[in-house]
Order: sequence, then C-alpha cells, then structure tokens
Amino acid sequence: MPTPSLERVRAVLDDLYAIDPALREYGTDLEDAVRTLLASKPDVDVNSQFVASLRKKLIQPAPVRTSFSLMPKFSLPMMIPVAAVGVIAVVAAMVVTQPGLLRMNGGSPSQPNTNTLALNSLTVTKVGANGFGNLAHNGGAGEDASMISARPQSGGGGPAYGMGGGGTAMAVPAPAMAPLADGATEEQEAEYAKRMANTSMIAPGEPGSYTYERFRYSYDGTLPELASSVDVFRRVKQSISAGSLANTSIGFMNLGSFGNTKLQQFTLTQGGSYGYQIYVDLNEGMVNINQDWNSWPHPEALPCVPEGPCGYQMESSDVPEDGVITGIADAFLSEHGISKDSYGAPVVDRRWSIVQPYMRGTPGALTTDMRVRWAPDTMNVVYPVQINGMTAYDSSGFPYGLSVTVSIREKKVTSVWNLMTLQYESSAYDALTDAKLILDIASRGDVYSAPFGQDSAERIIDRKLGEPTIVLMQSWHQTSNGMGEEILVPALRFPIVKDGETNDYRDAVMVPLVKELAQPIYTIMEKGMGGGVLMNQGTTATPPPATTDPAVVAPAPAVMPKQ
Amino acid sequence: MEPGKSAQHTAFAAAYDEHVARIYRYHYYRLHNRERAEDLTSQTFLKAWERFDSFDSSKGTVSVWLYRIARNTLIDDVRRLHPSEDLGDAAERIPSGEDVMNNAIAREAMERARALLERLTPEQREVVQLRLWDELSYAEIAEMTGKSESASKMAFSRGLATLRKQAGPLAILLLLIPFIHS
Repeated sequence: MPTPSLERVRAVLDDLYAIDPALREYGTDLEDAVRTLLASKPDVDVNSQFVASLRKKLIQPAPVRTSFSLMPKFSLPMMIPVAAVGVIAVVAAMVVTQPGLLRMNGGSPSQPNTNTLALNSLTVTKVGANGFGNLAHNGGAGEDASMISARPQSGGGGPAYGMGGGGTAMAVPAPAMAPLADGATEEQEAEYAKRMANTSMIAPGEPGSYTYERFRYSYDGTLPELASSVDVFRRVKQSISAGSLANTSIGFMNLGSFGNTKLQQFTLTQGGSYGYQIYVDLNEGMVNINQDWNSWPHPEALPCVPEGPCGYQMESSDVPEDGVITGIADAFLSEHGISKDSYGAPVVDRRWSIVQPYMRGTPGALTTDMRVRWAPDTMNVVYPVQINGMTAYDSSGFPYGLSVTVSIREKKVTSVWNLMTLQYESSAYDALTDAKLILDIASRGDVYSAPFGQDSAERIIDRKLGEPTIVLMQSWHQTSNGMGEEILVPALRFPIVKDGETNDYRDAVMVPLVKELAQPIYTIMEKGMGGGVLMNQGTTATPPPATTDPAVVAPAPAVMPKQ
Repeated sequence: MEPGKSAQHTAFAAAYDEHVARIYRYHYYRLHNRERAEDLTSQTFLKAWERFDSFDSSKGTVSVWLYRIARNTLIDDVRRLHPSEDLGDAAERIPSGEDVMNNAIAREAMERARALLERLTPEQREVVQLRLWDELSYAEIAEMTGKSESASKMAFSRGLATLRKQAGPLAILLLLIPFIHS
C-alpha cells in the first residue's frame, strides 16, 4: 500500500510522463529513489499551534467540536440547540462537581468575584532526574533545537537569510526603507527601486550586493553562581472532570445511547453587547476567553481611503499609560474570579513601539500610505508564571504566562489566553556551566545562529549585555511519541543594553542552562555529519566559535564557585 | 454583525482552513525558513481578510486569489530583505542551502535543486515551481501569473526538457525531493 506521499509523487510523475513519455523508462529508478528519500523528508508540515493562533487572530476560535462530533451528520441549524442543551447540562454538572473551577454565575459585573479559578494555583511535584527524557531528542540532530520556540515575534529571533540571525532581531533594513505599500503605482515602484539602489545597504563598489544587519552581543561582567544541575519544569495537563452526557436527553434523541462519552471541550457564548466566548478545554486544563465577534463593534471593517488615513486607526497618542492598561486587565480578572496569586506583576507588551518607527512613512520616504502609521488596537498584558521565585520568559526574553489583551479603543478586555492549571512536575538535569559556551551563545543571540564572519553580507552591530539573572524559559519538548509538551527550563536572561534608537526587537538574550539544550545548532550538525556538513556553498563546517570570534568569547569571565 | 458580514466571515474561515497549509508551504518552499514562512503566511491571510470584501468569485477561485496575495507578499519581503535581487526574481525565488539551517539532508537536496533551477529562465522556473512544489494546475498557474494555460504548459515542458538535456532525467526528481511530505 503506497503512502499518500508516494501517491502524490506518482501523480506528479504521471504528469511528467504525459509531457515527456521518454521519462517512463526511468520510472522504476524514480520510484525507488522516492522511497529512499521519503525517509529523509524535511519537515514542511505547518505547525498546528501556528495555524490555530493565526486562525484565532483572524477569525475566532474554531467552532465547538465536542457536542458536534457526536452527531456529525446533523445539519448546523440542528446542531446549535443540541450543543446548547448539552453544554447547559454539562455546565450544571461542573458547577456541582467543580464548584471552584470557574465562576459562571454570581458576582455582578460591578462586584468583584471572590470565587476564583481554584485550579490555577501552583503546585510542583518532584520526579527523578532526567525524568522527562532527553530534552533535545526530537528524532534527529538537525531538528533538535527546532522545538524550542525561538521566535520572539514577526521577523525576530529565528534564523534569517544566509547565516542565521538570532541576533538580527528586526529584519528591517533601514528606517527609511519602509516596505512598499500594497497596490503601489508603477511610479512608486520605480522610486522604491531607486531608493533601494541608493541605500547604504549596497556595498560601495559592489553593484547588486547587499548587507544585512546582525547583532553581536557581548558581556564582560560576572556570571551568577551556576549549579551543576538544574530543575526543569513540565506542566502536567490536569484533566478537569466535568461529568458525562450519559443521561442527557435532548428532546429528539438520547445522547446516553452512545455510552461511555466524555466531554472534552466546550464553548460558552455570553449574550448581549460586548459579549465573550469562553472556551474550556477540559483535557488540557485550559480556558481561553475571547470577545464574541458578533457582539462587538468592528470599526476596522470600514474601508480605508487610498493613500490616506483609515478613520478607525489608532494613533500612538491613543495608547494609555501602563497603569491604565493593567488596571483594566486586573479588574476583568477580579470580576471573573481568576486568581493572579501564582503570577508575577503584570507587564505591558510595548514592543510594537520598536517596530513602529520603521513602519511609519518618514519625511522624504516613498511610503505615504497613512495606513502604516499605526498604533495597535489592542495591548497585551502578561502576568508571568513564577515558580520557586523564578519568573518565566519566552525565548525572546519577554515575560511568559497568563496573557490578557486589552482593547485601547473600547477600554475593555478582548481576550484572556494561557489561563491554565498550574500543576508542574520538576526533574533535575545536568546544567550548563561552561562560561565560554554561555557567552558564545549569548554573543550570537541564541543557539541557532552560526558564528560570525562567515557571510560577507552581514553587517555586525555590537550590543552590550547587562548583568544576567537566572529565570525560567518557556520551551517545547517533543516526546518520544511525537507529542509536544511545554517545559520551563532555567536560563540566563541577559538584558540588552539599548542606547539610542534600535530596531532590535528583543529586550534580552536567553541562554538555556540545561546542557542538552544549550548546544549551538552548528555544532550539532557537525557531529551529525561527521564534521563535513556544509555551512556555506562549497565550504565545510566552520571551526568552533572560540576561534572565529575570540574577541567575544575570550577571556571567559569568572564563574563564582557553587557554595 | 450584519448577516452579510457573518456569511463573509464564515466563507473566509472556510478559505483559511482549506488553504493555510498550502500557503505556508508556498512560502516555506521558497524560503526554507519556518519562522519567515509563518510570518509571510500570517501577512498573506491578514491582507486577504482586509480585502475579502473585494474578492469576486466570478473572476477566479479563492485559491488562486490567495496564491496571488502570497506571491506579492513574498516579493515585497524579498525586496525588503534583499534589495539587490531583481524585482522580478522574488516570485521564483530558489532557497539556497544557506536558508536551510536545521536540516542537513534538506540542505543538500536544496542545493542540488537550486543548481538545477538556475538553468531555467525565470518564467520557466516559476511555472516549474508552481507545478511541482505547489501542485497547482496549469489553469491555476495561468490565472495566477497572467499567462495563458497553453503558455504555462509550454514553459513547464520546455523547462523540463532543458533539465533533462542538461542534467539527465533523475534531475527532475531532485526537484521533487525537498518537498515531498506526507
């Protein structure tokens, strides 16, 4: 039985044969080669988390599937009342069985609710050393670190063209080089091309060549005390019991007839204007709250004037101070009984303001499209997870935890994400204590980027790093059965010293302190390919960073001995 | 939300669900960089949503419409990051081995594919890529590139003939290898 992939390839081969029948005589060779090479297929499957996240951003959460999945042949008009009845029944069951889960009723909108989400209080259970398996094991050396969420945001963190770019942060060439607006006229395109040609990015005397910016970070202080082993934390998906539909009758059929059914997810929709949808995933132990698209105004649906401002667009001056934004978020959490006890102080994400100058049409620049002079409609507030006194950050160095989005226009919360049970297991792993390697990784911004000096197109910008602190870094670990699970690993967080205007999107450089996660990718590739992996066309693997960039990695600073 | 908007919303959701993986692959095949492919996929659908009002199904399929937006998004992105590249080259961009940071085997295959594709004219290259990598029909390629269906077939055929003459029949397979997925 051929795999679907092989069938697809055969279909393409048939297509080729139709055009060139002479290829048929090589058919066996072609198919044999395909079979061999299928085993080494690259990962081109779109990340399901990315798809879900983008869908949410664009559309709203996917429709409720739990009740629907029981009745796949029913038409939508019938399914809605069925779902509603089912959910009502189950929520009633939940209120009985889990009175502390989530207060759905009681507590008026103006009255703070004191019945909090009981399951989001933190617990940590210790398990044996290396209890989560090989954290770097994902089936192949080249894929190891790909499971670590390296991308801070659009354009940042991940490898860029050519030789990586953990340090390229914002891949914006220059402030004046605002992207060409969609629908630009031919004259605008010509002018754009001319500006491109005139920019300093073109190396003098080298028509057609280009450079890109890459940050090189250095730290010349002392590293904190580093232990020989560190505790890694894995969130335990706490399944929330919500009873069964076994005895539920919905008027025209008996759901109990299916037997042994279990509610896994459901969505509640709040009526009235400015309503919310509350999505509860009982398996994952997670609740997400989103504005109900149908009951909120949508000024963004108004058409924009070509080459002019959009009436609905927010300006920078519309964005209030952090205290106002966190106040709105705090009030919402309190009103709905969501405890903040296990989280640190809220942090408002203002990273958009780093991007904004580079998107704005500057005087004399080509882009006159006012649509790019934006300020976001919403601001994100993050309440970072805290475990054993350590604060969690994502791999870009931004706080990680309960996320609340506030509409600047409406002064209301539009969504709450990552509200989840906080039951963790901890397990000891060998720690990275090699100061030289730590600073090597830090200098390049992450474990993904190649050493400096391999690409003549890179233009290095030096940045200083401030004194690091030991924090937790959110990461993903692929289990042996291919499932992804969230882990929090100790890491050094080096704040980036930003003097003057910069397009460096990140605030900090993160270096994981778990030994098996802290191997630079190029060294893994070297091992995997016996030292012969191509790092550049026609060249062999590069020497270790200590020899390529000694100014940054040597001398190693003192590491205070463990007491 | 008025009923029309609601219906539009539903239609867009369906288009998203059906095409998001294909649009992601379109970008990934040309960049071989997961993060940038995701970024450009996001941009593609954000633009699509902004303009969904203007989409006219009587003038073409939503599939081709999305690919066209993806193509323009890619071109803009490559122009922005690689201003030295010919403006017309972005759509048939060939990712280099350097783009493939985390998969040595894919990197090698990509280098071979790159060497082959460079033998083609830009027009042939784009058609070959759209046909083999994105699995678009000739009708879709024609609609997307503004060429006729027969011209698209001709470009594809000539492209393959060039490859076969210069590199042998297995060369064609090499074009497929980096992009086979289950």
